[in-house]
Amino acid sequence: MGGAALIEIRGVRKSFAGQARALDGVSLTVRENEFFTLLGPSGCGKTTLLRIVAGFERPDSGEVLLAGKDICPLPPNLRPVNTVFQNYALFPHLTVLENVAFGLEMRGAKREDAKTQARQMLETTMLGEFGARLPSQLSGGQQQRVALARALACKPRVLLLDEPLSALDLKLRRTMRAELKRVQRETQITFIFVTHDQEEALAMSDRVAVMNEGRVRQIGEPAEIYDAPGDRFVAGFIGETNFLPGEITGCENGFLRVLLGGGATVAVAAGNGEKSGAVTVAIRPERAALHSPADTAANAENIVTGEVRDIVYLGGTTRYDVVLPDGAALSVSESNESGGGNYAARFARGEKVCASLPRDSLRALER
Amino acid sequence: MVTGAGQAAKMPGFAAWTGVFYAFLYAPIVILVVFSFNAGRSATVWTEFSFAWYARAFANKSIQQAAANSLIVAFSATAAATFLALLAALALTRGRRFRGAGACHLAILAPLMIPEIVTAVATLVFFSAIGLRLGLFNVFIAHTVFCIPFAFLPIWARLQDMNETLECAARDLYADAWQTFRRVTLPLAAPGIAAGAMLAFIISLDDFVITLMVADAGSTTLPVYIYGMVRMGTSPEINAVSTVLLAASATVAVASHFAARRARK
Amino acid sequence: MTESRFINFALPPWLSAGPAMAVLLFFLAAPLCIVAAYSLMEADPHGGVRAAFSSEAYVRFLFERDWDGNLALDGSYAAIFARSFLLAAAATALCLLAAFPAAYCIAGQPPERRGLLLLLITIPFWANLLVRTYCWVLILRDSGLANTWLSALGVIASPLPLMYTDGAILAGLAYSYLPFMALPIYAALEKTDWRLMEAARDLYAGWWQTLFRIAVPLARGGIAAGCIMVFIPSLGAFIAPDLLGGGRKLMIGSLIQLQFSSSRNWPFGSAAAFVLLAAVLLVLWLWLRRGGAQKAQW
Repeated sequence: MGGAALIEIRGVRKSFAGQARALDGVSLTVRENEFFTLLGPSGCGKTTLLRIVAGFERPDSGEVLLAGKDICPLPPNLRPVNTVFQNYALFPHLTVLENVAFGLEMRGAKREDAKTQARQMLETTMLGEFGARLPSQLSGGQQQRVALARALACKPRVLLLDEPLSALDLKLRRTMRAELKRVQRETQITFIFVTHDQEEALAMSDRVAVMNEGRVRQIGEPAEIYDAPGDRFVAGFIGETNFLPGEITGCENGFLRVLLGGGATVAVAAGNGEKSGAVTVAIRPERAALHSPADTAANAENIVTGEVRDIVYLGGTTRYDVVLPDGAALSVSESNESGGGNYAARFARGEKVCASLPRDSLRALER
Repeated sequence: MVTGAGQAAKMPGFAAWTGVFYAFLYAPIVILVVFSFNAGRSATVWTEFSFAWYARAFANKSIQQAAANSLIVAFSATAAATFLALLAALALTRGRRFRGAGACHLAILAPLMIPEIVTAVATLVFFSAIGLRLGLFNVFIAHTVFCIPFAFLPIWARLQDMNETLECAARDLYADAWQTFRRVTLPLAAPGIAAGAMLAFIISLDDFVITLMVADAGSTTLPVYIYGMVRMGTSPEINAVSTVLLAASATVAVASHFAARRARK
Repeated sequence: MTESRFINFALPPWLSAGPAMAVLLFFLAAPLCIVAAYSLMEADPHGGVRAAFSSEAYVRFLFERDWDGNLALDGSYAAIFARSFLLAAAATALCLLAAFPAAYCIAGQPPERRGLLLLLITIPFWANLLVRTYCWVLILRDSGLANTWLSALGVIASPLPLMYTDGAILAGLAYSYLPFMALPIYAALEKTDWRLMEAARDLYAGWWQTLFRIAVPLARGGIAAGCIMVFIPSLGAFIAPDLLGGGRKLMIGSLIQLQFSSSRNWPFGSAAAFVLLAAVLLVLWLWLRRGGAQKAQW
C-alpha cells in the first residue's frame, strides 16, 4: 500500500434542513489502488460523504480533491467517478446490455461501439447470456453483478460502492465479497466502500475509516482498528468488547497502572489514549482467560476475580459471563477444542473464577 | 391475506348482495344498449334487432358536428392539460423545493373540490365579463382547467413512486441533465402520463354541466346535444348516440386502467 | 434516507409549476372572484348585472319582496336548500348501504378476481353521467320499463307517476355516485388483515358483531371518504334533479343553473353558487381537519 493520495477530503461539513449535522468536519485521504471502507452505524454520515464524492450533494464547506483538483463544483456527469448503488438502480426500462452501454454512450461512444464494449464487459463478468434481459428478470446476485459491470465499464478513477451487498442473502454476500476484492485487485481501481457491517469491512478493506455522528473516529488497517481501537465507540462498534471502569494511579515502564472498580490493579499498555484520571479499560472476550482460583499463583499479574453467572455454548466457542465484585460484567470466550461429543463446560454457574487480562491486550480509553 | 378472506371472515348474504350491487350498476346501462338496437320506436317493447337508429344518428349532420366538436375539444384540452400537469408534477416531485409548493399542489386539485355547477357559472360569468366569445375556444379553455387535476394525479403518483436514484445513476454514468430527463425520467414516467392523458380525455369527452353553460349555439358538444334531444322527448336515436358515447368512455377507461397497472409494476 | 433530493429537473418553479398556476388563477380563481362580486350587485332584467352594490341576492334566500317593497319571510328557497341537503344525505346513506357489503366482499376475493371486479366498478365511474341518468328516464317515465312491467304483471292498473319525484331524484343520485362510495371503502378494506375477523370469531363474536365491532371500524376512513365523495357532488348535482325532477323538484344545482338561463337573475344565481361553494368547502374542511384524507389511506 502506501500509494499516492488520490482523493483528499478536507474539512467537509454538511447539514440538512431541520437536522443535526450529517457531516461535521470530515477529513481523510484515500490512496491510489486502495480498497477503502467507510464503516459506521446508519445515520453516521457515511452515505452522505459518498454522495458528496459522487456529486449528488454539495458540501456546505470543505473541499474534495481528486488527483489534486477540487471536484465539488462539478456535476456528477463530469466526474471520473462511478457508483454502485445500494439497490443497484438499474434502469428498469433498458436491457442489461443497454444498462451497461449507457455510460459509454453518454460519454460520446457511438451506439454500436458502446454496445460492443458492453458485450465484452458482460462476457468477462460471465453475464454474456443475460444481455437481452430486463433487470427485473435477473436474480439479486445477477443484478448486483450488472450494477458492478455498468459502473466499471467506464473505467472510472474511483468506484464508489454504497452498501452493495446489503440486499443479498448471507451466503451470496460471502461469495460477492471475494469477487469484489478480486475485481478490485485486477482492475487496480480505487474502491470506496460504504458499509455498516464490520465483518465485511475487516474482511475486504486495505484501510477502514470508522465514522459516527458525522465524524471520523479512527482510520487504520483492519487489524489496527480491531486491536487498538482509538476510543470507546470504535471498541464497542467493532467486535465485542468488555468495558471495565477504573482510575489511573500511575505509570511505569510504559505501562499504566489502573485501579479497577473491584479493587484489583492492572497494568495496561499505554497507547496514545488517556494518561490520567477516570478511564474505561477495554478487553476483547477472546483475549482474557479464565482459571480456577487454585492455580493463579503461576501468573499473579493482572488478575481479577469474579463469579460465573452464565455459560453460553456457541459451537466453536463457549462464552462465560462473569460478574466482578463491583458488579461489572466481563465476558470471556474460549474456543472449544475437544470435539467428539464429549463437551463439558470448564466451570459451572455460580463458581468463583479468576480471569487473567494480558496487559498488551488491554486499552485504557476515555470513559 | 394474499389468498383473500378465509371462511370465518365471510358475512352471510354479502355475496348475494354484491350480485345485486353489480346488477343495479349495470342494468340501466344494459337496458339502454339493448334498446338502442331495437327496430321499433319504443324503448320498452322489443320488436327486432336493427342498426337503423345508428344509421340515422350517424347521418344526422348536427350529431356529426357535435361529435366533431367533442373530439376537437377533448384532444386539444387533453394535450394542454397533460402538458401543464406534467410540468407541474415535475416541479413538485423533481424540482428544487420551493415555497408555496403545498399551496400549488392544493390549487391543482381545486377543480375537484369545487362543485361543477359553480365552476360552470363562474366560467360563464367570466367569459361574458371579459367579452371573450371565441366559440369552441372558450369550451377548450374551460375543459383544460378541469382536466388539469385528472391528468396531474396519475403523473404525480408515478413520479412519486419512481426512485430518484435512477436519475442519480444516469448522471453518475455521464448523462447530462437533459439526457437524463429524456432517457430515464420521461420513459419511466410514460405510463403515468398515458394514464393521466386518457383520464383527461374521458373527463373532457363526458363533460356536460360546464359545457352547457359555456358553449354557444355553434360549439355544442355531443353530451350537450344529447341533453337537448332528451328535453325534446326520448327517441331511439338518443339511445344509439348514448351507446356510442358510453362505449368510447368505457374503452378509454379500460385502457387507462391497464396503463396505470403497468405503471405500478 | 437523506433529506435533500438530487435535483436533475432544474427548471425554476415559475417556469414549471407556473403555467398551470397561471391557467388556474386566471380561469378559475378570477372567475370565482367575479361571481363573488356579482352576488353583491343589482340584477339586470335582461341578463347580467348593473354595477351597483346590493345585498338583495342574499336577502332573497329568506325573504320575499312584495309590490310595495316590504320584506316578508319566504321559505321557498330555504326549502330548496333543505331538500338538497336531505336528498344528498339520503343518497349518501343509500350508497353506503349498497356499497359496503359489496366492497367487503370484493376485498375478500383472491387478487386476480379483485382486479376484474374493481374494473367493473370503475367503468361506470368514468361513463358519461348524463347518459347514465338518462337510462333512468327510460326506466321511470310513464311509458317506461318499470311501469310497463308492473302493469304486465298486473300489479298496477294505470302508470305510477315515478318521474319528477324526490324518489326519482334520489335513485338518480345514488346511481350516479355509487362507485364513489364503493372505491374508497374497498381501498380501506383491501389492506385489512382478514385474520382480525377470524380472531373476532375465535373470541366468540357472531358475524353481526364481527361486522360492526371490527370490519366497520377498520373501514372507517374509507367510509368517511366515500360519504364525502357522494355527499358533495350530490349536494350540487344538476343533471339528476333536472332530468328526473323535471324542473319541478329543484335542488341547489338546478336552481343556480336556472338563474343563468331562463330566470336571468345573475346576482341571485351567483349568491346561490357561493352558498353552495361555502357549504362544500365547510364539509371538506371539517373532514380534512380531522385527518380524513390520511385515514382514507390513499
